Amino acid sequence: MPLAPGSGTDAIARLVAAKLGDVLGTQIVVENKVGANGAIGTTAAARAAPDGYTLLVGGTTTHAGNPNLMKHITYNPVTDFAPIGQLGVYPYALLVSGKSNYTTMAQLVAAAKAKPGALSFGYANALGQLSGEMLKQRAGIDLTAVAYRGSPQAITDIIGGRVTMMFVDTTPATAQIQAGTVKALAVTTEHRTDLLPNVPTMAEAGLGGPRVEAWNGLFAPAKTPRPIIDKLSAALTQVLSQPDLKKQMEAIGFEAEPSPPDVFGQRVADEVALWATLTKQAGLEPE
Amino acid sequence: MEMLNNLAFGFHHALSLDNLLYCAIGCVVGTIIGLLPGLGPLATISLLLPLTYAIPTSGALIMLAGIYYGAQYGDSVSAITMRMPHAGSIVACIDGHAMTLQGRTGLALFTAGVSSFIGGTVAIIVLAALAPSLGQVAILFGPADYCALMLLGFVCVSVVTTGSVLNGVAMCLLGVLLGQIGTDLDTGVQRFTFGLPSLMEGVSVVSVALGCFGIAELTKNLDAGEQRTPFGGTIRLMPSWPEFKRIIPSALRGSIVGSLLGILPGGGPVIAQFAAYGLDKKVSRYRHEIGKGAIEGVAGQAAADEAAARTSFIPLMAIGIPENPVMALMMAAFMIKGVQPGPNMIGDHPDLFWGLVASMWIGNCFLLLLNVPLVRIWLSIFKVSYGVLFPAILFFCCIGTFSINNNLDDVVTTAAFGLLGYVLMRVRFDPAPLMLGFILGPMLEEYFRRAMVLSHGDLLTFVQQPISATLVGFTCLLVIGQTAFAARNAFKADPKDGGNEDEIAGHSGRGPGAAVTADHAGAGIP
Repeated sequence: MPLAPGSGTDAIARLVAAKLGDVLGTQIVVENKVGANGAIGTTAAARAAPDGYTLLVGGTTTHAGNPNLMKHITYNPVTDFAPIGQLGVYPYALLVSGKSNYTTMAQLVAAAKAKPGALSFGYANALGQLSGEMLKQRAGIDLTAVAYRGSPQAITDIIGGRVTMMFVDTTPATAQIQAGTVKALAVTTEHRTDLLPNVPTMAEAGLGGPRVEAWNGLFAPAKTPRPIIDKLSAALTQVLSQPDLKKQMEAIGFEAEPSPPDVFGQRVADEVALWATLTKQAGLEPE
Repeated sequence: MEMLNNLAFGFHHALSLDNLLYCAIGCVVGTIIGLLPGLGPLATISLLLPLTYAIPTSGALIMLAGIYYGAQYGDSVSAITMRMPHAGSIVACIDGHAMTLQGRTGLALFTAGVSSFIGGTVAIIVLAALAPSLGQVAILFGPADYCALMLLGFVCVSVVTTGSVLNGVAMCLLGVLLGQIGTDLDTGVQRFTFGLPSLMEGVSVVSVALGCFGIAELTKNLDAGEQRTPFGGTIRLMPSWPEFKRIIPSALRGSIVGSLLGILPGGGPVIAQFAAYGLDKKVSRYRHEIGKGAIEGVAGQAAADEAAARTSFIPLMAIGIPENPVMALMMAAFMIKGVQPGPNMIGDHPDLFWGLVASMWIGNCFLLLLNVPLVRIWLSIFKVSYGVLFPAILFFCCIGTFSINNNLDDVVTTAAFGLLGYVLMRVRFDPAPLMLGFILGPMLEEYFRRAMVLSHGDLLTFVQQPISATLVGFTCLLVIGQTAFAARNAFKADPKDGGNEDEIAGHSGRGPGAAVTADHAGAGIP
């Protein structure tokens, strides 16, 4: 687990680890090895013994963002890992303050066109930043980008109306949306999400394009024997179909979406390529 | 009246046998990690989070909360006895440790324990009475307002300096520079990381604090070769009545400062301690003693630290915004239990909210018991000879720093800061202003740049918003007032009067010190 305890991915990893341990008849320990945007823990997992006892919960940040945004990366997201399966996705939503007058994407885009640069978007991670940059391109508008250290801080400024909008996973936003302190104008998923059934997708709002979303999945170090991978994959699929786990995940703003090792492996490779294109288009340089 | 009803409802929940037990477990675990150098509530709570799957929701939250505020309660003990601070007890290293050197360890510990109790009690009253409305305060503060608040914080630099002011300003700037290590938030540029992945997210405050204070102090004791024990077998715990009377006002001031700062995201206990110390240095009747082992220097810090730890629950429970990493972890614990912290939480789950508030007060009583009468037992560890004790303390420092990220590099970083701290101590440079710069510098920069981005580079944003304008004005008044006061004193004082010279130097630099620091931080932005 290369991200901090308390992060959305951490909660998912802990939920899955407990259930997966039950199915496999063993105890799975979640160890957070954080630092360097997840690169430290991911590198450690890549170098671990390929015996199936050390696994990694990786995702958008570690397996698509970092390889394209960091100059010195000490692992290869595709060749250093044997994919086991996808866990699911975090639908991203575009939030504005509950006090603002915007109720549709069209209004927001029109307002941004009328005053170039006056509206702003906040972000607390690479996906949020990339989504904002993509919106600028697709809608042909100019927005001021505001960086944050964490989503909660950014949402505070959205609620207070200091920053106009923000793409963020629904985990920290659900309670705020329910209370009406923020409004979700669109989701970036392919279809409407069960978590926010009344919110249109970006494509429905006429701002479609390549699908970018936050996903995560389970990886083993490369060279882990195939029978072990298959056993873990079968157990994972079984765990992710349990209704009570699905419900717990939904409460955190996560949609379970299991996939077999090969399909997941292909997705990881595709994502790395997609991010390479998108970050270049958005003008984000690796540092 | 409604509040009393709610509290009664809360106590009804918190006083069930199960919940009492969870509260006691939380407080004991918290006390132990508070006593051990380096270990913090963040690592402990993340370790214990999986355990809570098997515990009912309110019990789990009561226990985790107990660990957090319990750890803040006792965190001054290691600072007072060994000069080993936790992030929230850095200033206890100044007066608390000075009291130990004067053989007044028992009094310092009593002061810290009782002040924490007062701080906790005041914060719980604030929490119970005002939580729903105070949650909104976090939203009222924008980047410009936070920036102004940080600026005001820099005025404290002269307050925590015990030596010359120039020395303090230099250390503060060094702290600001150390805080620059890591990835720049806005551009992703690596600053001073030398390509090391472990420096990408900066240096942790635990590494710097442990290294510059604790490990440096241990090393100094070793090379002095002196066998000194913090107390000679028995300690006098109970204060005399005049001493006790000095604790109360200072602890109350600390409680109020801590309660206020706890509500605001970012600093919490870490910043509250500096603010409380600074306030005492300005208004206490015994301000001339602060820095040399004054009761006020311990009482204010301990109360502020504890109060801030408790009120930092307000934004989480009232508006669903976690304001520090520990609260983010608490939020995860809530969500794992299927409770969404948010603006509706207090209404939807009154049993959880009021149960937690009531359990905090029960926890407060547990902690008073654990930290005041029983402190003798904890302290019996010092009867062990230093040859055994030193390696043991260092061992715990290593575990503590390792546990933050499960990363050995952090232990190496701490050792490097130990070396730096030792050198600084030998050349009589003060680590406290360094810590202040290290903590406030990066926050000032972050908020300043955010305010600038949002105002499109217009500096007037700092005076156009009421909160920020008030704070900036207050900062200016302080700086001007101090400078004028110092100038008049320097003019009046007879140069031959050597006894007063230190005092004058202490005052004169206060203003310029803050101004220089502020300019520097501003100039850092291209």
